Amino acid sequence: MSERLDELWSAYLEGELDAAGMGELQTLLEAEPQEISLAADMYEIHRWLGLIHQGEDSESFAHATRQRLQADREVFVGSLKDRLRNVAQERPKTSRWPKYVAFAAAGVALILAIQLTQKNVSPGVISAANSTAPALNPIATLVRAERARWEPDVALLEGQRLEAGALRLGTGSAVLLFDSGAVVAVKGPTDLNLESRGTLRLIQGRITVRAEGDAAGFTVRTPAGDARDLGTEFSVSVQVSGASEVHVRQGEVAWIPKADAPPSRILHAGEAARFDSVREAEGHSIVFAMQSLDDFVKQFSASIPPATPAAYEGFEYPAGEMKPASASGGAGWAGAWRTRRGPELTREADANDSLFVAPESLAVAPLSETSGGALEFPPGLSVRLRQLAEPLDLGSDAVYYLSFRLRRVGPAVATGREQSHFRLTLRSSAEYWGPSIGIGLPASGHPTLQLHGRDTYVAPVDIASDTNTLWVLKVVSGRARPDEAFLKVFKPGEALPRFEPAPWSVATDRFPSAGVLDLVVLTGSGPGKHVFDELRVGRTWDSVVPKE
Amino acid sequence: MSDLETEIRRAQAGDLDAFESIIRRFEGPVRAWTVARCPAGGDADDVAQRTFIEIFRRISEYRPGSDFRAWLFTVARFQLRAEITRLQRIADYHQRYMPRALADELSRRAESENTDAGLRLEYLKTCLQKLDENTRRILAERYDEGLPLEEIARRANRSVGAIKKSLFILRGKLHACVQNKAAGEIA
Repeated sequence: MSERLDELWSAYLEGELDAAGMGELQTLLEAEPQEISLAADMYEIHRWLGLIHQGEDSESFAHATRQRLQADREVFVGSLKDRLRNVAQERPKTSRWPKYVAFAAAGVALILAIQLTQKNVSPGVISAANSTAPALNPIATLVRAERARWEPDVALLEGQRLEAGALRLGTGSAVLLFDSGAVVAVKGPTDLNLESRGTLRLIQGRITVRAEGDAAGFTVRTPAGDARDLGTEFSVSVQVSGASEVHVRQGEVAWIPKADAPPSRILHAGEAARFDSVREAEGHSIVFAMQSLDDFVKQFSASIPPATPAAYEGFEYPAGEMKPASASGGAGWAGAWRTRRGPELTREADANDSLFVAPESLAVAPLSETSGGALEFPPGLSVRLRQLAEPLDLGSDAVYYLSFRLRRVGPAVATGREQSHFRLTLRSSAEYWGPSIGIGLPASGHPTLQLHGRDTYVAPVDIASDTNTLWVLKVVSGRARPDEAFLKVFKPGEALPRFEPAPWSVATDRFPSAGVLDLVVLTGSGPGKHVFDELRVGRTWDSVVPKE
Repeated sequence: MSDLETEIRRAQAGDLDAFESIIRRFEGPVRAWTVARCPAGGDADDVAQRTFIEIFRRISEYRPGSDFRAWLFTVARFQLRAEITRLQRIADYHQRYMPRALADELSRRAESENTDAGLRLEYLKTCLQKLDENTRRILAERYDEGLPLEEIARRANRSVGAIKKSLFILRGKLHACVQNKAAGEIA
């Protein structure tokens, strides 16, 4: 390999290559085709090193696969049960078959139903109701719910992560965001089985799907065949008989009558078709009629009161220097800002003990400035703390969001190798050096998400100095389940999604913790100045990400 | 009748425990194969899981005495192809995730009949054992803890460039070690 190719390839494997570098790498590989095989070999070694160090847990893999299999089989049996029930209910009056056949069918349905209830049904969600079930990888998130009643009766929170498995919405409406980026609106009663980040099985009911960009290829499986998205918005409904309808609002949908078969029909925008069974590969056209996903969301968003954060600090203080104890504004706090004390102190002392309030707030387009000022962290070490009235209890089933705006002013690295670093850490006042979740902007400009001051996850985005940014942290905690944390950093001009993003800038692995985090600890250090503003803590995405 | 044939027969009768044994028997080679062939941005373990799920759905099609492993990898190849198709639909995939030339090479390898990835992964583990403690620590910090290069460099009291170079050279050495072991096996 040439020296430049070495350099680019090394940067690629370290996740440091930007779009321009990727373009150059592509050009060099095309110019040196003999090196492609070696590059692929290095990629192979790189991936295996990842597998060996991170994910080669054979036990978990076998277990998770079995859980998915069980879910798959139960969905199949459930579908069969529905069909048999349909036979039992609809056929007796007109059927040529003797009555005992109908009774037998109903009996089979009953046996299957009993078997279903006796099985260890694969959980679809992380919740207290099924907290004893083994941990699976979540594949989607519940991002909206309105008057939603789930069956069996479980309380699902907005922002809650969902695992592969069965999910039944009895009444109400909900929106699911798959990790692939596909958005699925569901109206009860609807029976679903979440299969993977890119696939769901619709057993009965109606859903609307929007799968664009990275989510393209999202597949809805039905008893009559599969509807595969080709970058579009469409709805699918399945009746008790198993007959399925597809309505395409935008883009195209491929209809695949059975697994591994080529598409039998491509449905275009404004078209709709009904497929009565897998034998009806072409289906028959019907009148297009579907509500757009936007309309669906608007309809039920109107009935939800505006979201407000549980804690807010907009730094509406007089500009200039002030004592932290005098800064007790905002809402949702147990006391004013303060400096470190007692066991919180380290060998390195703060450069000063004041709060410095900038006269103007930070605007992060499309979010404009607010009425207050902003908190400034001058060069050198400054640690400021404030206690939340309502802590983040990682030992409970809950979802928390936190957001703030941040700007680094000046150099990230000084000549003496001193490096700028800004961190927001959630800690426990009872056990300051115990469990913690931190997010930070180190000198590298790559935002980090850190657990317990140890495990660091680095976001593959680059934040330059003098850039206003919006940071959103999400923490999903579980009473008897591992927790997860997610971080998204928005740059100016980046559109704020209607729902939380998929994917996030960076996410942790699932981690066990039962800490009660009630301290917000802000740390600025190094040669650069940091400006911090608009701190919000809440229970929903909307409560911490204001509308444009 | 081999143990595998017995497990397959039981799985054909709907025995999930038996199928789980089959998963345990083959998950190593299948995951090693999907991880090495799946382009960046794809979910290799999801591909591996979908492979086993598809095999279970079609387990009744298996005929005793035929090559189960070959069938398994044929299904894995199909599932990986579907994942690659999904990734290729991402408009700016090659700008964001992987140069086209490399993605094409991985696709070509995925279509080949060579399924010895599991064995090569075992060779790699053996090669890792020969590394000195410092090198193993850097690998653990890079791949296990996911530390930024800056932090790894700070801990090792070396420059970021030196760490990056070390990792690059190390991957090359590990590749050579795996190749040598594979060649020795053949010889």
